[in-house]
Amino acid sequence: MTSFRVHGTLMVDESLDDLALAYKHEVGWAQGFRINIDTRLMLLGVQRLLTSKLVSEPELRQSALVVGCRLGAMDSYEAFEASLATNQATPLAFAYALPSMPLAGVSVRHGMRGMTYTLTGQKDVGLRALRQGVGLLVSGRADRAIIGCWETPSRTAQYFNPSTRCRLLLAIIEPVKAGASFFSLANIAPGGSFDADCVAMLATCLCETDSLGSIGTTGCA
Amino acid sequence: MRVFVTGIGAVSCVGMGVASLETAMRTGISGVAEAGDDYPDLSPQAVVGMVRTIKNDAVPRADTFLALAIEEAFSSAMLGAIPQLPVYLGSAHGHLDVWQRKFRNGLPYSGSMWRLAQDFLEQRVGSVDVTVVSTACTASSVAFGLALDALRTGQCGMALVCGVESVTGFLHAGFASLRSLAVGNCRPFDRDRTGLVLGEGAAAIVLETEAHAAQRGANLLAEAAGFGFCADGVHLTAPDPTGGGASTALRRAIDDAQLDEIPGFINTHGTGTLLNDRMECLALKRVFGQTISTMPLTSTKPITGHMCGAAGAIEIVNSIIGMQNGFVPQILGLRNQDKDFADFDFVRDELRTGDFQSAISMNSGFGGTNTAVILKRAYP
Repeated sequence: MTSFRVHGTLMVDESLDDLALAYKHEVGWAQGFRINIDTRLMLLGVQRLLTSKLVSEPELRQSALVVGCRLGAMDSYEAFEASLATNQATPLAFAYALPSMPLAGVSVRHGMRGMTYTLTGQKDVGLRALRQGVGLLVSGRADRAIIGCWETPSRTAQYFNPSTRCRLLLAIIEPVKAGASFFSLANIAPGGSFDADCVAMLATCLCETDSLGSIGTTGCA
Repeated sequence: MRVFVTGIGAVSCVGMGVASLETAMRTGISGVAEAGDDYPDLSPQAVVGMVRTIKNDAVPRADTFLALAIEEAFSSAMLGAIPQLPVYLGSAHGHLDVWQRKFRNGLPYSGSMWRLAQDFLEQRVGSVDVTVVSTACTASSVAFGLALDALRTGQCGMALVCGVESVTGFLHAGFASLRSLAVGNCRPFDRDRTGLVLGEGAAAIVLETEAHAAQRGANLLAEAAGFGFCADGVHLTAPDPTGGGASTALRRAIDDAQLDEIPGFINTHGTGTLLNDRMECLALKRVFGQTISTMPLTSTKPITGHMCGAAGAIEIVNSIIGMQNGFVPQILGLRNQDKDFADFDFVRDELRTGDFQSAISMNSGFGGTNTAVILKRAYP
């Protein structure tokens, strides 16, 4: 049986204003000055992974990236819908409404050409990202997976989560040698008893996982 | 471990079911037309591939499409009661139609954009586990790749892959604002191509390991032989003009499938936009060189419209239909082949018949995602 360990985790939790400032100072990507808050959040998180040396640029380029979002980039959906109401459709808002754009931003910024998969769904979407990230390691399609989930405030998101914070959790998952202890994914399988938003739920899961050392694949079935 | 397709289902603008698709591909009929007065969210002159037989707004259109496609796939796979089933589902915008209606009316949106087909599946399957992928127009081909890996690594014996998209005013206006829509019909690889035409619908594919299929005596429709993915990493809103990402995805799929013969035909992404068609031809040339002139190439988007997140799944289904029945559909609307692609063997004017042992289905998505799926003919 292959086992996996959480090499490191990183949490970003910023207000909209602080996200704008942090993005400007820490990422400062000229090509991305008009991107939406979801993509800024993702780029900031990946930049902090690099700054904290949890992953190097070459390692990042060779990693799989599987990140989930419960709703998608609703702020951009709302912006585009509002632009339609005034007959001034804004193509960038439409483009950024695609949930996959934050990962596309990371791919372009850092030259990632491996798996960059965006998952959407429900409150367990972070756990699904973890499971799919492990799946990519098991299948041999990647040697390292960066998994996680994010959420940003919007009018639509308010119904589910009144928080006005932009939150992202990323974790680096790597294989470990056979025989190490592992944490069964069966314990965190979707449909469990968790009742929290996606970032908090994944954080809880990863804390438990960290304390046990690594992740096994027995629960994937 | 070998994995096989044992059931397929589809809903598209050419009608309900796989048989409608087969007829349209055989006879060169397109389901794309002006919207007319039936869709108040769209201009009557908007050229789209709408599923006109489904007008029920009481439930999300995507769920209606999915329920029909999945039931057909289950029937095609001769599945009765299903105790448990992992589902890998791709969509670019999920229940956008429902969200848009609520948002415009100032109503809170208490559903989920991405809770797709869950109610139907919970009624139909004992225990269901749905993973939704949203990587723009590669979403359902990525879902296919995830399911293939799950089966190969023994995580399950059977899985369902779905793709779904519904056309909304939001989606149409979005592509219009990007200036990606065709003037009239789409004409992939034509000198005078002007863009894509949107379509809607769903496709469903039952995948099983060889052992699982053999145990229950399932009919093998095709082998799911390989999958490849590559991100462009070049530009946020335009494809890599050199075709680098698409060619790498293709190479990875060929390696994954251990394909050592020339593919029978290639079902390209073929959207009919200037940039996509050029990029895709360059990618094909990078992988196959001059050999590309001997491979029949098609695009089924003029028949179904570009079904965005469902494009991958419906085009895999189209490829299986062609391979099983020994034909490659013509590219509708292709009259004057772009001289830059003069040495490519596009299937035009009439369908091409033959004994095709393998097929490749390619897709590319906004944000620079590229996939290739390799199918091989299965024999009982």
